[in-house]
Amino acid sequence: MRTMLIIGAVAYASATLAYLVDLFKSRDGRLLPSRLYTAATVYWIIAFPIGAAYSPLCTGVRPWLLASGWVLGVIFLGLERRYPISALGSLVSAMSTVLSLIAIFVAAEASDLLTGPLADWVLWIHISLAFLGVIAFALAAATSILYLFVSGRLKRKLTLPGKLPPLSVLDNLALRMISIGFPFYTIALLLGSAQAVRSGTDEIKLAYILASLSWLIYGIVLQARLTAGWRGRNAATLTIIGCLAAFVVVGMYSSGAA
Amino acid sequence: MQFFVLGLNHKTAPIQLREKFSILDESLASTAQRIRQAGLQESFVVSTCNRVELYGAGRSVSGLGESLGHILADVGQTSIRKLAPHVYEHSGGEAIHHLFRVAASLDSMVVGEPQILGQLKSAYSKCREAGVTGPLLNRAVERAFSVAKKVRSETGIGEHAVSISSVAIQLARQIFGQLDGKSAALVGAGKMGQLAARHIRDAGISQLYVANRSFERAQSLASELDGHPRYLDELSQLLCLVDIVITSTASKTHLVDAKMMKTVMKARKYRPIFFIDIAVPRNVCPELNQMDNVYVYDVDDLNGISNENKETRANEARLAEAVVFEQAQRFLGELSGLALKPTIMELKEHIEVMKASELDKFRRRMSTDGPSHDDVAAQLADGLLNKILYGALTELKKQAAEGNSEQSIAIVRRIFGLDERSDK
Repeated sequence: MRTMLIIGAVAYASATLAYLVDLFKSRDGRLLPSRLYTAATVYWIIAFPIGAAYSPLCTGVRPWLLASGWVLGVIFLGLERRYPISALGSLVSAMSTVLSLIAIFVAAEASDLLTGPLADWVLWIHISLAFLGVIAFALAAATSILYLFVSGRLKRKLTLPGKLPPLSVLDNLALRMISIGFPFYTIALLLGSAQAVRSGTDEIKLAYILASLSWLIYGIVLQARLTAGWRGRNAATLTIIGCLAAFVVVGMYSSGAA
Repeated sequence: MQFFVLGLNHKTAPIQLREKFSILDESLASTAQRIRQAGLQESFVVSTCNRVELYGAGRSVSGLGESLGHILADVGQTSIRKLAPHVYEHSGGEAIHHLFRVAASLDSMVVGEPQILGQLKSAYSKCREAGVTGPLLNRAVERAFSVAKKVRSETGIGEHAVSISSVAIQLARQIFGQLDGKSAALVGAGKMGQLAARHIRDAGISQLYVANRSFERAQSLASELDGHPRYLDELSQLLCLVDIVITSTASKTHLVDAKMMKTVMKARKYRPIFFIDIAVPRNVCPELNQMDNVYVYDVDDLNGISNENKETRANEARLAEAVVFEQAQRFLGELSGLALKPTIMELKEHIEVMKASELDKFRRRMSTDGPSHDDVAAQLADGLLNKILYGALTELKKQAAEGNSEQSIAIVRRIFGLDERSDK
């Protein structure tokens, strides 16, 4: 079973490599990376329930980590059909790769998360919503990284490969992703806080602070963007920082450090 | 059948000469018809502002240069003596290679420009409708179109803008995406600015404003460019409104500075703005480029990108040349195969006739009492062999008598594998 999951991670890595090669070559081969990512995502969709049913690997937060990898793929491949964002493929598929690798290797010892006092349906909803929020933030961060790259080259008057999407598309996509992810993340944090109170925990963990910090960052970005029209490099930088904070929280829970 | 092309282009003839040879679309077919009358079975003519070329295919193309040269001289109403130094001609594989290069835009003034393919398609369609092209030329021209498509998809030959205006439009698209729904302002009345404004407008801008110190001049320019006139004093209000600003005034100081832009950007809710500063001295403070969502490009910046893109295109053109060469060789190989087909068919038919005649004799001998079956079978085999070998041996003897036997002997030995047998 472990081999099956490793094959899946390698499939994501191959898609990442294909997207990267495609980004720097002049010949038009966009179909290949997209097909590889589709194949890797489909592989995971099939492997995931099999793994969940038969393998002890699918315990703790691993199912969410694995699911996040292919949900990212499904959302991105859908968006790729609508927007000229193939250049984002390398970043997004790299995220899928990292998520699946964390699930396979790092989260191997942290399988007791759902066996403690918080192990009930509220916790399941809390984790699911948090992961949905993080997936949206990850897409927003990937978009923002590409935004900074394109904007930086434009500012430095450097030539741009023709395959990079326009800044307006990247900016709008990042805003849309944050708008979608923020409500999920907010509800997830509220449920998490309620659970913590219910279980009588009065300890303030670093993970709580980081989760609140990422929520605050996205709240500020969203509010400033929607009301004052704030956008551009600063908004993109904050989006990436917010995502990093959220990723650290995910990493802490995955490794059992939280 | 062989291919032939004769023509002149931007590399061989100056515009003063080229403009005389322009052939109207309506006259393409009649000119192609004249080529057929000159002795070619198939013909096709292409005429653009950068080239006039007469293509043809026929059993023999020797001496065609002169007759097609006369046709071309007639088109340009000039003498063949004046025309000769500017004309090139290619035949056989070189003509095919040239056609493929033209279609792939490797022979264009701006390498990689896409217009030539459309012009070729249109000229070909007119000649084909008129029935002057033929199976071989149709095959070659249609293959040229697919080679051009292959070159475009496999190399980046057409991806990088090379003129100043197209670089500006490409940058605008990189910032804003689609330009429809966007607005632009032309500040000043400089010639370069007007040209850039025309290109931007043609790229799909929905609103164009023209601001000038003299409102009358702004009005007249606005009516020329299908835009709206504005006073130059309204510049800061205009900057709040538009997405792209082309500046080309003779002002000695910056018209747009950091102080003005801070207010403008707040009022714009930080929507991106793109300055194309064509003026020298510059009209827009270059430091504004450091501001978030403000992009400032002056003439040198645009030129720099244009030169880099030209270099990239030149590199891509090298890749494209390799694709075209390979495709031309492949096509010529296919044609050789096709040329062999009738001979193979005839040879088979010839052998079939021999077989039928010998079988006929065999049956007649079998129906009468006489020699044994073995003798008749041996006679049949001998008869067939003699008939098959007769032509080849007669030709071999004839060549030997003329003192040219070496090549013929080598061919016969190769066909019948005599050397392999003696090796064994």
